[in-house]
Amino acid sequence: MSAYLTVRVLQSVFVIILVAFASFGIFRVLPGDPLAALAAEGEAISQERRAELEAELGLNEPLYTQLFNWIGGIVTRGDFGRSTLSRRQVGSELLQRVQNTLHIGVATIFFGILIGVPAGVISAIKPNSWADRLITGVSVGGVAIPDYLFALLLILLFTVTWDVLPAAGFARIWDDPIQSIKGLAMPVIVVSWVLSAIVARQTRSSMLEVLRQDYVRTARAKGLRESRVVYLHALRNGLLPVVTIIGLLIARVFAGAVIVEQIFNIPGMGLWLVTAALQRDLLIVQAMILVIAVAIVIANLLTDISYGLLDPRIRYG
Amino acid sequence: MAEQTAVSAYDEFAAARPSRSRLAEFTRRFVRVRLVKPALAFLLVFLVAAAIVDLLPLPGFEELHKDAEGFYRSWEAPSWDHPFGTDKQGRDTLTRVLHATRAALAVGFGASLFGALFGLPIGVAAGFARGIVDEVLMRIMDAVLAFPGLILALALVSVLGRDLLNIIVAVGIANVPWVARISRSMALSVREQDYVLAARTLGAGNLRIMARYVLPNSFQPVIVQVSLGAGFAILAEAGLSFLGLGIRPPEPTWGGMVAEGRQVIITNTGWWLWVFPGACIALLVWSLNIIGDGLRDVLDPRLRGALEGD
Repeated sequence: MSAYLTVRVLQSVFVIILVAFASFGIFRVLPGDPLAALAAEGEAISQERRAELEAELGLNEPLYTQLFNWIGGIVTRGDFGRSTLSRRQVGSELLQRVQNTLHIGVATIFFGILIGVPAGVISAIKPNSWADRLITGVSVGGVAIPDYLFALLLILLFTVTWDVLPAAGFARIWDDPIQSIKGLAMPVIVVSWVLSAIVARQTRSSMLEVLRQDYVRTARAKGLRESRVVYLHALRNGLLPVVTIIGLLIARVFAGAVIVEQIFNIPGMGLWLVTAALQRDLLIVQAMILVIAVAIVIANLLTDISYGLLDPRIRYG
Repeated sequence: MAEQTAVSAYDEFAAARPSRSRLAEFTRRFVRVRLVKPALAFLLVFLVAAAIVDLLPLPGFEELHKDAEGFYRSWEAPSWDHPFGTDKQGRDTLTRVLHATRAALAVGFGASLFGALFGLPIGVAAGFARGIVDEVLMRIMDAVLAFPGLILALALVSVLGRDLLNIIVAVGIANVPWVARISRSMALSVREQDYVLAARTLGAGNLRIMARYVLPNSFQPVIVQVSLGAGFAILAEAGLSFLGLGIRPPEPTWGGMVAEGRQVIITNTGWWLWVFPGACIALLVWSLNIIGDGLRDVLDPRLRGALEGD
């Protein structure tokens, strides 16, 4: 186990270094001007002004110095660099943004598992029954229907027709719980649908696998009630592979946040990322994709480790 | 039903078997997979629409329709003149929806082929070489996978710009690791086969073994991934367009049209603006997912469940 742990941790560190190189490289090595945001405002920037700005943002240094300064700043001081447009520190606003997106993340992963696991189990108990077909159909829809389309349908229903939920108006849960729940209801429904579809699919296939095992047959042969066989014997092992998709779920939360934060005007990481990309404020985009990718790598590492601890058969090989 | 003995059934099977080519056999089994027929039909409709939209007796997609007094016929509900209604500038939604099929298919298939083009050699090289080459290549793939597809595309587009080719590349990069992982696992298993050993004994070099044995064996799972990847790419392209980071207007895109519809959602002045393009995205992506799953079931049942991902 400890050899497995060491290898996984080393691999993840290597991947994080690559991710940092990539986040930096996308914006500095590919053809693209980090000061494009300022040029896009209409007036071309003069040579002197450009040199001044480059000096201010550290863009006149050699690439490798910039890379090490950037990463060094993040690691030692939590300094993620500055916005090209406002020249404000990215780090100070980042914390606020992360908290807001966490609202969506925590709620959607909670509901995704709460709905997805039972749905997957019901599907697996009677494959090809009407319940299985209904659940599979709804999951397929969750993957094929774009989240923004679903969001618009919800707005049409809950805001325009019934007027029970606001289409905008985010508040943090600790500031104003009622407003927070109202404002988050629709975005959370949208992203939870996708997540529960993924969870249900994974649960279904791993439960189908487990229900074929000899020990399940033994349990049935002993004369145990079917509910005991399914919920006590099979589910414990059937849920294990579901742990492995937590990283995937977190990736989907970020992808979903980009869309729903835009639609419901929630000042989280996703909205910031899109706004910055539209304004071509590349230093913000660079910092944001680094944070998102590192979060996903760490989530994947933690799920692999916990999976290894939960399932003694898993060894690195 | 007539009584049929096992022997006669076998004779029938043996007689029928050689006359069927592999392609015919594949087709017969493929169209039997549940829902594959409607999925193929939808895909065909979209392909035909993209091909012939200019020949149809429809107004141009940039044509601004005005009424007798010279006002734009903005936000008109579906009618005989405009079956899918009109948008803010009085443009015909049906024409625009059909026209946008081109962008969707171009990015969908372009990006997934891009993924195959780069993922296949990377995966085969990694699985074949093993050791440090494998480790480094696959960690690079892990690094790409760490970025959610839409977010990576969004970042790349913000740098590269919003041309069709740039969008294909930006969306396609997210497909590379999936193809690489699959072709790597194929390469790992093929290189241990006896026929590879036999070829080696006859003096075949690494390149020859890769080209002659590993690549053809990776082909089928990669086709499955191209189909599923096209679905993802169409969703990503539509997502980018919805956010305003897709192909530049006036070229119509489904995602961009849904975004226009979103602007009037609160006043509910134009459900047709977003329902029709939105339905097209969902239908096309659904069709490609069903086709991909069906191909997987027929080509390689062992892979079922192994390719789960987005």
